Amino acid sequence: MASLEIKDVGKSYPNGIVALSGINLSVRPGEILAIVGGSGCGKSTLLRLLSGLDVATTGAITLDNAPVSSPHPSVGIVFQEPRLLPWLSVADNVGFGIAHLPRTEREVRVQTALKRVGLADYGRRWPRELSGGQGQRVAIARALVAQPSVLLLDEPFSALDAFTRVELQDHLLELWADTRPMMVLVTHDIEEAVALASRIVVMRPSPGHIEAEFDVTLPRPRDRLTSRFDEEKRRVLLALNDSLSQRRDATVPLLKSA
Amino acid sequence: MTTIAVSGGLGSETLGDNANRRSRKTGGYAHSAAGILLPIVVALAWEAAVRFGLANGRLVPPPSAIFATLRDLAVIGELWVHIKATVLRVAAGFAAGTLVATVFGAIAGYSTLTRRLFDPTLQGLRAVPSIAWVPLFILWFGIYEASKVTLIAVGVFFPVYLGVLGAILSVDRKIVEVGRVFRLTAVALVLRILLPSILPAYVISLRSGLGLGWMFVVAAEFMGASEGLGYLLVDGQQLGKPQQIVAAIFTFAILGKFSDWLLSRVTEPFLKWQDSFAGGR
Repeated sequence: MASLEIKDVGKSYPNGIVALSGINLSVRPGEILAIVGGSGCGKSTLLRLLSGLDVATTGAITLDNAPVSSPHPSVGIVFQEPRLLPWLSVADNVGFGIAHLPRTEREVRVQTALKRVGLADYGRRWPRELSGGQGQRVAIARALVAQPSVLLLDEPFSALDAFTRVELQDHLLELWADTRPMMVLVTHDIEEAVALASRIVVMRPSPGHIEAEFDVTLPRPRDRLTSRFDEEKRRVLLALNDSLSQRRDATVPLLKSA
Repeated sequence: MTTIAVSGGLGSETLGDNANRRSRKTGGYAHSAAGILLPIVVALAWEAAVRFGLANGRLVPPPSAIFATLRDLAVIGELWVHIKATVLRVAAGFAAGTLVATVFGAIAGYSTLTRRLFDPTLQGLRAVPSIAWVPLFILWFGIYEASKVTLIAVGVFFPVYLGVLGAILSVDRKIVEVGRVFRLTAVALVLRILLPSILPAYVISLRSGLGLGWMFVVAAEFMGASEGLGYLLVDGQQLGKPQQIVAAIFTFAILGKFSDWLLSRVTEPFLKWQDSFAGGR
């Protein structure tokens, strides 16, 4: 089983802005870890560090005890927008990361992945012919086709309408149940976090750090309309609100003096 | 027709696509016909004006005189000699200019250091009116083909270089990140991400480069040529044959338009993924 460890990680930019400081986190095998927080709390930055697209200024991120400093073959990522290559068909987009495999195997894997995301008949279409939700499904298929042991998701459903969002969340859970890869999901949607996550990490800004961390013990499949679901949501909301209220306290005197 | 026989959703979809394509094609012919209307009306009006004595047509010859000149040139075989000479010069200059510009533009776009080193110099050279090189090129390469082709290549170079450079610099960082996520090598990143994404802009820069190629072939042939459409222009001026000048201009128009059409037709299959304004019409 893979292990993903984040030890004392900090990230600051050349212009002096400290985006993250003192992040300690270990992602357990087969779990879905949701990172929630307001904008500017560094949650996306943390995910970029995990993906190897950016490098931490301090501390270390290790995957199976090897440091992550550049994109890793067993880490897949789904961005906020599909980021499909417009000049490739849907099938070629899905197969983009496995171009090194023999053609027949590639075709089988692509077709399987497309079928898994419910788009088996869409292989020959152009990305521009897809709806937002379909595009994001293709992006998920592209990430999964390389069979990663870790899947990172950066607010993957935030640009979608509410119906499509719930549909894709459920769908993501089905996909996860197949092979149970580690998933790290960054989101600002509390309901999404409670519906999907095994564990929720609440982050706070300036500088970005972990404010609270708790397990979600609701049994799966989770019914969004139960009072226990609401209770979990309230717990996250309180952790977030606490941080929000502290931030408000800090700004109020400034407003008064101005 | 075989597509109709295919059962299920896919078959009806293909059929729909075909119908759609056909209607777009007839639309295309109608558009071409609309485009040719104005020149025809003007030509007929001028022909009528000369025929009915409203204008003498000595300095601006009527269409009939121009076509007669073209026919005479074609019959004695001279027209083809001139067209061939000019087309070969443009083709050679366009090929050379495009090749060098693409390589320079790609390197300058990819490497910031190279761009800092070379781009200011190239931009400075771009500010020189290309005709100004003519005396130097004649000294360097003689009065025959080499100097002409070089001049055309210089004319083609700058729009293509600028097009490639600008297109690479404006490639979406988010798309490049997809390549990084899948750990593409530098070469694979250029081939699989950068080149395809600059292709639409590249085709436009090729077309403007080709336009300049036609422009500079005239300048090149003005500086002393014994054949070529530019020679026909000079010859027509010196011997007072305006119909020959207009005939040569007309041939330039046809060739320029045809080569541009050819270029966009050849590149069309590579660009059909575009979700563009014109594509949705």
